[in-house]
Amino acid sequence: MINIQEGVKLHVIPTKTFKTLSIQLMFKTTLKKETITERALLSYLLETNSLNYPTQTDFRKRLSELYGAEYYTDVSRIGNAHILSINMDIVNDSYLDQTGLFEDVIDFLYQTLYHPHVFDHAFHGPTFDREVTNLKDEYASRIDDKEDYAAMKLMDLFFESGKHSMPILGVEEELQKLNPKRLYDSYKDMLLHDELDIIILGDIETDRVKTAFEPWTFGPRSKSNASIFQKIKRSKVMKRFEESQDIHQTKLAIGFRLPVYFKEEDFAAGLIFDGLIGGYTHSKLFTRVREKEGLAYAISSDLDSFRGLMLVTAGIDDDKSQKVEDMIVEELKTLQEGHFSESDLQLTKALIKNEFMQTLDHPDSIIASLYSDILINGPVWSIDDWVETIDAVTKQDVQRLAKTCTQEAVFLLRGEKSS
Amino acid sequence: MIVKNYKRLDEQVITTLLDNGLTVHLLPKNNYHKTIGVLYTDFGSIDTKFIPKGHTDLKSYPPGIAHFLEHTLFIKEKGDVSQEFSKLGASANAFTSYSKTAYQFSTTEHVRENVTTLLDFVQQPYFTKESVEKEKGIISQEIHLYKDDPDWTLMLGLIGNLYPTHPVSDDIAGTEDSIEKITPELLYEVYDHFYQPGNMTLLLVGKLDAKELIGLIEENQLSKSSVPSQRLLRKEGADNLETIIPYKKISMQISKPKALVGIRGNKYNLRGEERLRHLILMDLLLNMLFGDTSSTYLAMYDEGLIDDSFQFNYTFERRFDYISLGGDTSEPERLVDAIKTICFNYEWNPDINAEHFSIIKKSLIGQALLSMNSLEFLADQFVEHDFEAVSFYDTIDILESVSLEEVKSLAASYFLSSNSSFYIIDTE
Repeated sequence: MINIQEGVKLHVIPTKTFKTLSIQLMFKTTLKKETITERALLSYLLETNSLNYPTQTDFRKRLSELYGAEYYTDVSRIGNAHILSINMDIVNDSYLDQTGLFEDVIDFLYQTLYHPHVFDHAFHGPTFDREVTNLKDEYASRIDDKEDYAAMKLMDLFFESGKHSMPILGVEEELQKLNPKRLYDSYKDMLLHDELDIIILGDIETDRVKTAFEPWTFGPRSKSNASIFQKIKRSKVMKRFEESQDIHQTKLAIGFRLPVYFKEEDFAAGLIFDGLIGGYTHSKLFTRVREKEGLAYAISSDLDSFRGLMLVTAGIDDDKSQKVEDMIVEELKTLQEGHFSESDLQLTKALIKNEFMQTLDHPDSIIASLYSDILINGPVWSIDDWVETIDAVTKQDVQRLAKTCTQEAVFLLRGEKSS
Repeated sequence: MIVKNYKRLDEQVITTLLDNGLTVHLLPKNNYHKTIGVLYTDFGSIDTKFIPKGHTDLKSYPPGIAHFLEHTLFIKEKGDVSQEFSKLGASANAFTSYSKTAYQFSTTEHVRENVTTLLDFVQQPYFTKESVEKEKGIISQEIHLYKDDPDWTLMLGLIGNLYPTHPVSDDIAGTEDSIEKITPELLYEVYDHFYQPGNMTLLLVGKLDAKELIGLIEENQLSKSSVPSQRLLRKEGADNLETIIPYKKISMQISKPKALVGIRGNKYNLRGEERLRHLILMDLLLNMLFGDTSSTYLAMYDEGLIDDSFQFNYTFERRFDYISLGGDTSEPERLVDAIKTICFNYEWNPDINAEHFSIIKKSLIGQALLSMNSLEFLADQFVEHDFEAVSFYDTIDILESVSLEEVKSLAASYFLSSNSSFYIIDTE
């Protein structure tokens, strides 16, 4: 890791496994409800064009000339952090009869970020308008993906319409407040004040990377002291909401509070608990609801270890929804009472370790795991650390943790055409 | 055993044909931690008509039977075989496409045991009345899941237009009524016909010891069937490709209308290097005309006719091939017209020029190299297409050798308006 400036760090991850270089720039700020929508729109604009490549065609032609360089932006919420990332995947030029591809790509990034499509201190009007329309369409289409829709509604119940429930691409009423000038001001603010981590992965010398970034100028920025984890308090009442739509399958989404945080004390036990209840095909929910009862094709659980939250989702027949809901609660109870075998525990451990090893084969997941470590400010675990931490978990640990898992919210999207 | 080295890419493909007819491909990538194994058969949802053993006439089977078999094969006397893989630290999966069924594991340990488990579970069927009945409930949920997906409805609708009398127009999973007809006896008939080693391939990609694994696979196969099987003789009868439904429009509860244009082709019989070259030429052609570097793309985008959901795909399977183009649009009829105009007037298209051709070439070379990072992608490529003497790894050399003239002549032979159709889903 190299400190380029206060709050700006360069990380080079050397590996010879891939034929590519991955470049990710992570701009981080504290999650605030007010800035979610504007950052989403910014990510759209930064993906569209720049001053030197003012139309989408110019912009994309340049990327094609750079040997099909993949360029995309993203916004995400990790715990209490709000991240806008600029990402590129490019061919390592050692596989081409051309040199200097990396330098050309970094120059393209420089042009895109330091010279966006801006006139008179405002984003180019027509580009702004079109991306606003695209984002509006995105909002309108939320209802089309029924699983995402159910999960979104559940988050609304769970976090009671705050910064944690607002969809990461924002909402229409906030979008309407934005204009090209105001958006450019917040872009400058991001460029100047966000903590920035630049991560490069691939077979490349650190010196070559440093040299390529030399023309970039960065001012100092202060580090946020806010906790990255969103620790949820127990709700006094179980929140519940139902809605009907003209669809064939009913979607059930249940939110559980599970005090498990990335690399904190019960983290490994949390991964195992999540795996045992709904993470794998040997899990309690999969074997009972799908295999034994034949009531669902898809049923699974998912852990968010930056917010201490576990989500269970299932697609079912409407007249079986109460039955499936009861089964989910029963299976949680089974784990709380310690009714799971040593072999199920060992199986879950083996699969979690296998999954961890598999992440090492994907540049994106290697970077994501490094960035998680950056966010919590250490500790970095070696492969052996991971394995040991998982192996050390006992049945009692899982049972103790299971007892702290509480059901907080249920959302049911009822299918009117469901048989 | 044939070993093919791709020096420039630092890749290797090892192929061997076993005595019982099973083909084995190994793609060692020893910098990786993971190994993927796929055992697949040349049998998919379109194969609903054949002459079973002991019969003399063609027999028809219920649509969805290949997918149903895929599900049921996981169930053994001792339970779901997925758990056997779990115990070996692996995750297992399977899928059925129009012309293939594939069973897959992915692991970072116990590669030998996982290979054995894969071969044994696929080669030892166990279909009972009980397992078949239970699976009907699960699969009907799977059918419902897709029914609520408007993009799936759109794609199925277009295929139905292009191939109204071809089995590809049936949903891969079948319907609730068709799967109701499935019995263990039918599954065994289908299994005996299509799951002969001569109709199957085992592919291993990732961290692996080629020599050791080939020995293990040979031994495993020797211990099983004594009868060496032949490559399958296909006698499904000729497909009726006379009719085409020019368009259809339905409405659904969605936020924005959707439109998809399709053009049916007749290149599906191309084999080997010719097939790979054809797919590459099609990729170049479609990207030149509709990719985000084309002037027509920008014009459609600026007019609000398309958004980021716009897509073009070329589907190439045994017994059929077609192009599909479209996405979400506020003006579906105008988008259909725009797409058709571009296809059927390609001769005058300003994007068909040498400079654009060379940009797209560079871009596709880069994309091919980028995609080789992913073991999953490589496995899918090899399962999807058998290019015989060449492989996906030859893509870059072929890309460098193709000419603009070849792309133009492909356009001339493929873009025939009588082969086209469209499907629109409007908002309610």
